[in-house]
Amino acid sequence: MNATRKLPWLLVLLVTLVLALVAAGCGGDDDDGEAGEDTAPADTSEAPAEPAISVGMVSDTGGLDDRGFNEFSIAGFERAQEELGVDGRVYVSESGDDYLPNLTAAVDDGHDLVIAIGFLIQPSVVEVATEATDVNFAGVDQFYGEEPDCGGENQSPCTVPNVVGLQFPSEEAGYLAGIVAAGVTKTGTVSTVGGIKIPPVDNWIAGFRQGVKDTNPDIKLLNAYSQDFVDAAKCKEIALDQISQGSDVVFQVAGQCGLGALDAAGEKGVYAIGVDADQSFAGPQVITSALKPLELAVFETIRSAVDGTFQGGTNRFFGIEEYPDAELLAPFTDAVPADVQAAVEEATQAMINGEIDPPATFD
Amino acid sequence: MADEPRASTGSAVTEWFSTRIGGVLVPVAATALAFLIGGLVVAITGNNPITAYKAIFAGTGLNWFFPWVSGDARADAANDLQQTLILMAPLILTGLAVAFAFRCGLFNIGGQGQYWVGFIAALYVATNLEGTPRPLHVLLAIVAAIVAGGIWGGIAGALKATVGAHEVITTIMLNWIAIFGGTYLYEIGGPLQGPQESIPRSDEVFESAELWPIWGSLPALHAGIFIALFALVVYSVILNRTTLGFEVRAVGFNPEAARYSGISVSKNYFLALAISGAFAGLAGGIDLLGFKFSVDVGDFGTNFIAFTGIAVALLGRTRAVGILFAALLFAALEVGTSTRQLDPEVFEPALAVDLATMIQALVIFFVGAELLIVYIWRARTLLRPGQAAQPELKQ
Repeated sequence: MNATRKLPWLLVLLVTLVLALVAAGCGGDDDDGEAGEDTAPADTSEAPAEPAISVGMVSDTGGLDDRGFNEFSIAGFERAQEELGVDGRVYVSESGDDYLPNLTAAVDDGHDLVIAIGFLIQPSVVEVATEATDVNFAGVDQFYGEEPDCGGENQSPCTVPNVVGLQFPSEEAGYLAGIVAAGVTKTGTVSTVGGIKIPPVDNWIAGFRQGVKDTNPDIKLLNAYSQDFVDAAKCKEIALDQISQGSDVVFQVAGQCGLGALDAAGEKGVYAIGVDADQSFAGPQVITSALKPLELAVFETIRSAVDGTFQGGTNRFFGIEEYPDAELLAPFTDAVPADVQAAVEEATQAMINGEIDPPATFD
Repeated sequence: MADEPRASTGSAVTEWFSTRIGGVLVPVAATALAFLIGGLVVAITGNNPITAYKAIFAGTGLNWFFPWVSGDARADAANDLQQTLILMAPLILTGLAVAFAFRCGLFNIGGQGQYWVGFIAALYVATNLEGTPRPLHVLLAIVAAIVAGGIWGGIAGALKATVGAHEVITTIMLNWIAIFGGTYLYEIGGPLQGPQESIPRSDEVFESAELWPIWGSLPALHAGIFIALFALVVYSVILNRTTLGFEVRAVGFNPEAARYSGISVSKNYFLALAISGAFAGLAGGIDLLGFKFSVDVGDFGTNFIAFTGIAVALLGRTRAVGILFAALLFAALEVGTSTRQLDPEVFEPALAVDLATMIQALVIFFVGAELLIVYIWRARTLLRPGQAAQPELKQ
């Protein structure tokens, strides 16, 4: 017993030793340890030109390689790095717990503009932005209401003077996807797989459902949520269930999770429609993808900050009205017949002319 | 502890080695090996592992303890250390949740569900009872978390004790019930959804129920770390100084022998899982009252703290002090590799996130392999002629 009693103390000793070794590994300790942080600005000053501004990108959960939401928001940042010579870095949020520390770190690292990706990060943005008033913020998929008065925590969204909300009327692209789905279905049943039920997800689904109904009101619509944007297995399961109920077109609106829905469609030999970006990489079952101009929005926001035209305390919309040239659907595969493509073209024009205005919500 | 059978008569060196090898050397060696292999992977990706590890260490904030770190670096270190310690508190508790059941011979994989049930119970208390004075409100919320977590663990314990349902299966299923149940409560249109109707998020806890911030801000290190440290003491006392602890350990060593000596095995199965659940529920409670303050449904699918707790318990060899250091290690690793700490020039953010997971997995792997090392060592001594003939009679 005596020997074992001493074990904890030995453990203390050894862990201390290991830590000391690690510390010693830090070479000149302080100097070298900090050198890691110091090299960042040093390196960038060696870059071609003086960086215009510095941008901190805080991602949402779901990974940087989600082939959608995060990836293409960050693509806008990468484009700005190349074309506008801005500098900066990406902070990955693995869970909601990372939102606040990531935003705080982005501010502490001295970025001029912090772009927070995602709807659920909004309260953390409000919290940090009201403290760091000399930093500009932009929120992808966030809406900052009309009132400047926040009225305490958890009240309705308010305007923050140094924050701009980037809004996407996704129901427009969703509507066109609905027309495609209604045009190619053979079973007369189509379905949607949502991530977490939040407005930026429901916008797509609302547009999709309206597009289907306007084309053929007899088509049966299925819809379910995985309550997750990360785990592809959950979305796959939902899609398989919908397919077994007769759905032969699956529209996913669930980030990385939704890639599972595309897989399910591929396995069962039915059609799928991707979201956010062209997701045809998933296989030939993806007949098109409903696009969201994430790259454009992030790039434009960074450009406004570089120009000095950045305006906080408001929202910017990236819809067909503001950007009529932006692509709403990715290139079709051969599975989409010419008459359906023509119907999509027609509906696009009707939306530009304001004749069709798809709803942003549904019952 | 008697769970490390002494190698027979052997020399002092053999004895020293065989008792220590399972005690301290192997966890440390496992960690070192994991870091070594992690470093190799870093090297394969074309980065310098030493630079990467240095950057990770700087990101953990542990350099705050070095007196020569000063100025801005010290402020940064303080910030990082706060994050590490915030994470360390629930890791200690979820580690204890696994360790306690483990000492009774049970594998509690249900920490995540117990964590959420404790979290939700604390949230319910903390968003109601407006006007309760602060210490009392905090106390009530924490007690709610402990009780709820205990009940959730107790369900699995009761099933094990009465019908023999395997706790691995039941605790995993209870995890999903907690996760989907929580999602249902706070989703859009859910019964406990907060004030913003388009956001699937709960109410915010009343300030009177928040744990006291003790260091820094956004998010601040909170008093939960003391609760976690106190829980370590409680754990150690229950196990080593009480009849309950003795019975739990006896059942863990050998349920049949325990039954034969008059210990109720089923009662201890139930109690062990209930107490385990209480630890995990407490973790959820202090996370809520310490820095989360509310929950949105996205959190339910992305939190794996109790699974890291399994690694903490295994690496800490289910001893209180071991769990303390293992929790510190994993918290530091997670914070140090997070992309906000790790300079993208040093290590690509997309890879950094995976490095922590990989090192954790390697640590678990080598801790598992430890048994193999011990067995090989014993087999070696047993094969030696003359020694094998003398069984372990000498105590």
